[in-house]
Amino acid sequence: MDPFFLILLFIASFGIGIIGALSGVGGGVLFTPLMMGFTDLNIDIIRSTGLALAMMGSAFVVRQFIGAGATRVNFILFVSLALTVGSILGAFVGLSLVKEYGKVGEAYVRLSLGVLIIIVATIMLTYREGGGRIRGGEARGLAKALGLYGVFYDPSIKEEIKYTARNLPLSFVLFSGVGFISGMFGVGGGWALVPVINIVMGLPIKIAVATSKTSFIVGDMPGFWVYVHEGAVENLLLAAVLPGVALGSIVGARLMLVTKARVIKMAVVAVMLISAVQLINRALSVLL
Amino acid sequence: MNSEKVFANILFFLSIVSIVIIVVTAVGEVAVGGSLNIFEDSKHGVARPLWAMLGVYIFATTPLLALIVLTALSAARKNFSIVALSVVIIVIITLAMLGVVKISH
Repeated sequence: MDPFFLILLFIASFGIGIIGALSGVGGGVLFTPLMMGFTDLNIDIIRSTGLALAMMGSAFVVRQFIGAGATRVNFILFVSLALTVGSILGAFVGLSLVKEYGKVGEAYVRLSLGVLIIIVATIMLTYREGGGRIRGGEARGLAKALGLYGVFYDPSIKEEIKYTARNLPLSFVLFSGVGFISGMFGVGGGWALVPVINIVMGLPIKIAVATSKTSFIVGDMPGFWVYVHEGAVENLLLAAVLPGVALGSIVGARLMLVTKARVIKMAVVAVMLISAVQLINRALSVLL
Repeated sequence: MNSEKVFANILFFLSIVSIVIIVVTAVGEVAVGGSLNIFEDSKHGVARPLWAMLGVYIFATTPLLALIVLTALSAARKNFSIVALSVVIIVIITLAMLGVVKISH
């Protein structure tokens, strides 16, 4: 039975790799609930495998996305730094919150988070990006100092787009907020990174997806080490999942670069709604 | 080749190496008498020899190695924005690797 299960995992991970590269999520948001719902594997091993899956998917698209100009190392580092700082704080607060208010308090926050994601998904659907070949204006100030600008040739519209990040202090706070929530509740953060990069930082949706997806290789690494220290990793599981997500991510990244931005946005919104339903469901299972 | 492409290539190729080693060690573990029943193993926990964790360690260290090379190349090319960002992340990651900072996801 187990070899068959491992083959199924390989196929599922391949699919998750494609979806992750198209929508900018790590894949844990799909992998973790599936594994929790359909297997009785240890929860820490599921989480560590979910993190490894997100990191591996990210590692395999960095080359393609940087090579295509869809993101830059400066963006990856900026987002990863804010995420990591936030997740450290979130982990500390989360531990004390659970001690103080227990599972009920946690469930209320999950419920609020689920509703918030639905609101953000609605904003994403109705938000219209500014047209033209230059997004965010010419680089200056902090964006110029940190190198947060670039040029991307979009093959789907056969046009070169110059982009510059804006609202950097607010973006950093929001990325830290995503990391904080991620660290506190273990919900992952891909669903929130794309809208923040797209709407607040003012970068085109494809740049947002590429930057979000490539940030996991650095941003998730400190969390993965916690599980390595605890011995909560399963080689056989990783051997089935990692090759699948690696191949899927390569295919997904190629698709992402040539797919129309509108389709990418719909994929992101779909994944956000799946996350929201999952969060609300988990909250209600405790509250009702 | 610029430092960004070097960073991306290190991540890509070391990840391939770690996948190969993880698959080989997983098969090796079964070959030397390990169990295929990951459901039971995950409930009770399995003490693993160091060689069986080699691929995981390489994979978990890959981003740090890539960041160190990126920092060195960027410093040589006086790209101080990347140096500043990556040095802070390297410190955080090192603390996490040593078990000083605990982050849950």
